[in-house]
Amino acid sequence: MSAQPFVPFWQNPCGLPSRPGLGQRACAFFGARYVLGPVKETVQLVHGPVGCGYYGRLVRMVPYPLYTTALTEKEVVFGGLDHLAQALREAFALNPEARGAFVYLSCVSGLIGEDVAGLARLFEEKGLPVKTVACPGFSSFSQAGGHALAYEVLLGLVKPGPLAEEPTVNLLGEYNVAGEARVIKSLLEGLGVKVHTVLTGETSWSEIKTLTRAHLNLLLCGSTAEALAKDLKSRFGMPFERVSFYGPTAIARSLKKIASFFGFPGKKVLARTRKDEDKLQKTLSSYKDLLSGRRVLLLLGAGKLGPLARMLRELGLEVVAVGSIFGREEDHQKLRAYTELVSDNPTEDELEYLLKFLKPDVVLTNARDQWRPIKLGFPTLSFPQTVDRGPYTGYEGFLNLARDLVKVLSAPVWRFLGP
Amino acid sequence: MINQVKEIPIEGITYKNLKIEKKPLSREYVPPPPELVPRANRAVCIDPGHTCMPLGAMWATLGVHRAIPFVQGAQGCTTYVRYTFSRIFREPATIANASFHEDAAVFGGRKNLVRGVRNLVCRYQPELIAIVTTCSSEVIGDDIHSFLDEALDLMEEELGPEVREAVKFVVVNTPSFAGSHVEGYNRASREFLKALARKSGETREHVCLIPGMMTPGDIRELKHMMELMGVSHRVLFDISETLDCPLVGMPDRIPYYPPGGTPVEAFVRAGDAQAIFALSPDAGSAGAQWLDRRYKVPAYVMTMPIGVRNTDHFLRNVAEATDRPIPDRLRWERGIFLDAMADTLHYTMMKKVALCGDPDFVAAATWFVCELGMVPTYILVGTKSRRAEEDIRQACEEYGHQPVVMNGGDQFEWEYALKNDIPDVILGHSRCVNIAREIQVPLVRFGFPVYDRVGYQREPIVGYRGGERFLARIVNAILDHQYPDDRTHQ
Repeated sequence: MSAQPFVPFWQNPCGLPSRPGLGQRACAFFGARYVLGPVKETVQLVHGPVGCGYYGRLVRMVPYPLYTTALTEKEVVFGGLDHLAQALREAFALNPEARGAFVYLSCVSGLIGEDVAGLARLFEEKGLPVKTVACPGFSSFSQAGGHALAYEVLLGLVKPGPLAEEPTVNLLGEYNVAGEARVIKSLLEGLGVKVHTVLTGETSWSEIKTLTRAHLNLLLCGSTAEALAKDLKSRFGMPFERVSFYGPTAIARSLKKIASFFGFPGKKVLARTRKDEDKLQKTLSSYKDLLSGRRVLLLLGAGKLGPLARMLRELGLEVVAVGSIFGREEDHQKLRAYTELVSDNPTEDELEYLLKFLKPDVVLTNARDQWRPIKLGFPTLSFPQTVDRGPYTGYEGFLNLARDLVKVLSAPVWRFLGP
Repeated sequence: MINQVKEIPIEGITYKNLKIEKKPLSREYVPPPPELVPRANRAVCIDPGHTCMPLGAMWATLGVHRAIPFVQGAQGCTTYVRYTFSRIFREPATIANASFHEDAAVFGGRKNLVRGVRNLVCRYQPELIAIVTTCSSEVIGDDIHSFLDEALDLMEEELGPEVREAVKFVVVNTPSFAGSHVEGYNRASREFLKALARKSGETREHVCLIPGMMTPGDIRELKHMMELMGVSHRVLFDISETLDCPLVGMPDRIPYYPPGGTPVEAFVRAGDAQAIFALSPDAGSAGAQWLDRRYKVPAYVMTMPIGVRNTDHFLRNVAEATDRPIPDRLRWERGIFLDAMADTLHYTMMKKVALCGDPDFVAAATWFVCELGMVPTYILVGTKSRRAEEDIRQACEEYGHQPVVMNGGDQFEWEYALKNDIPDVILGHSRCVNIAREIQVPLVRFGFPVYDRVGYQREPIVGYRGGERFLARIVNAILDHQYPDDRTHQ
């Protein structure tokens, strides 16, 4: 690692409550929506004022149907439980194909303290399964709390059942951002492994119920789905493996792991990955000159940071500082292998100090924070959330990342900056 | 039909033997039960036409120079709004949050506010902090004013007495269950003037404008018209130089603040203004009317200046309030607008149009489409507004149309109506994309929010020049959709 200049930088440890007035974190409802949004065959209803339902419809920039009770002053004062029951009945009537419902609690319903779980039991007795997601916004330090709550709800749906006949896996913690699931599925199909369901990027109520059909759970995002993988192991005896499809080294390692679990010949896997890797390196070599030695600043949620740092190193870039939004100690531990400047929940002015003193060549961040570094004149790449830019997973994804980095770095617009 | 086939019609082979899962080929369209279509019959709200109050208050605050909204609530209340703003404007926007956790829900948000405000003042040196409450702090019953006093006392001890002068505070109560984002802006306009406006007694020749949730392009067009009139003016909540700024590179002073925005001084001097114009009756009239009552500044509350009649009305009022003639230059612009309308009347006349959006935008746009000879069919007013409904009724009476007005409805009922009576063009915001695709009708985007097009926030729709641009947008959408290429240039 090269010598770092002095940076006035607050290195916040992770897992702490947010500092009021500062920070970029979101709420538990945001986290729960992040996980549960794409689950199909469900009625999803927010019990709260209209705002939560309005914003919550978009998850990772994709709209998923979301109903809301749109509480008004009357319900806040006199209680909204009857209103909720009526809304649920109507939502089921409008969605005859739904197999169940998720009811999210917002700050208001959490504060006025309604017995939504009791109402859910009443519905369940009538044969309409209703699951309560108790995620009032204030109930956790960050969206990570919401992720955990959502997975607890999903765990409650799983029923024991027979195993599938052919080798089958579940993907846990894979959110199908920009079509990632398709890439991973095709990699696994090359091995002869079927994917039962993708939690929660491409899944449905009935697929979650029969989750135990699979022989193996593949854990992709540790920071959100690890607890689920462990619970599935202890409750249903389903083994799990940590895998990653970000970057060629990780892909090869993960495929080998899976092959050895199912007792496939390792040689075949090796031959396949080598062929793909050779193809990749041929295209990459033209990019590498531009990318090697470039210094990059990372600011993202948590789970993606480690794999992303690894991929960037494989491309020859140097990670100079990392900010996570809701990191865990394990994430930070991993990231310290790349840089000493690791912080949780950095504020906007802290980010600006980093930019001013470190002068990174490129900034990698999420969609809503990307405009600040751009405004200050730094080439910025946001993590893709739309299909048109393609995912960063798999071999083609690695190429996508390299190409995107080349795009932002070599864009002629930066030449016109300066006096 | 094929979805109902029980077995593959080959003798002796069943789905079970084939080991394939039976899935329907396509989801069959199930029309909703008709009694559940109108919003008034439903408890459940599907695709609401408005969002919650804090957004409006934050929008207003971001139009003030070196001002930061401080949201007294849970963190999601800012994350979602920052997300929305960043998608509309593609600009950084600093919004602070009290970060309510469970302790705040139990013990109240006193500690969060006191610590949060101190953090903000120390780190960001703002000139103004607007404390925007949310449903959680309102349900808990936080006494914001006493918390603020305590925060100021503590900061005075720590940072010296000058902190009281350096930072101004405005409290905007915006519990989201009590109204929509439009009402949030409205309340912010009143609270800012209440907290800051003074009357010095000196007469100053200037007028104030409260634009409402117009885009930066619209505000620039307003300024252009006022300049042509030669009227000294001040746009309150001027987002045109805070949420649409040049790329400058690293500033000398950190943190970055956008260069523009209404200075706090302009709010203080609003008490001396010649007149105050609220150009969005539902977003801003409260502020204008308060100023009228308190400091006797004549308030003009009028329909947004979209289209010929509304712009004429606006300029006539400005001329009346400031005693200045309407210059030839504006007459010229009006002439060009009329020329464009006459040139394209074949494309617009008798076209059925459906409208959707915030009350101020929809009411003004209804006047405009009537002027173009279009026939409004279904009008969704996202936030229930008596004034907007009255405005729409007046326009339709004048031009002899009978549209269905869904005042305060949700998009579900509006979309259902559109599916059964397909219009020629839709005027709406970006959330109408799905229905426009489904019924294959061109969508002209306007109002709040437009996030799926680049540069819309810079293009005006108000005034004569903006009206001409808006007309061009509508006609081009119709041309793209309905006319073969070789017929458009005849």
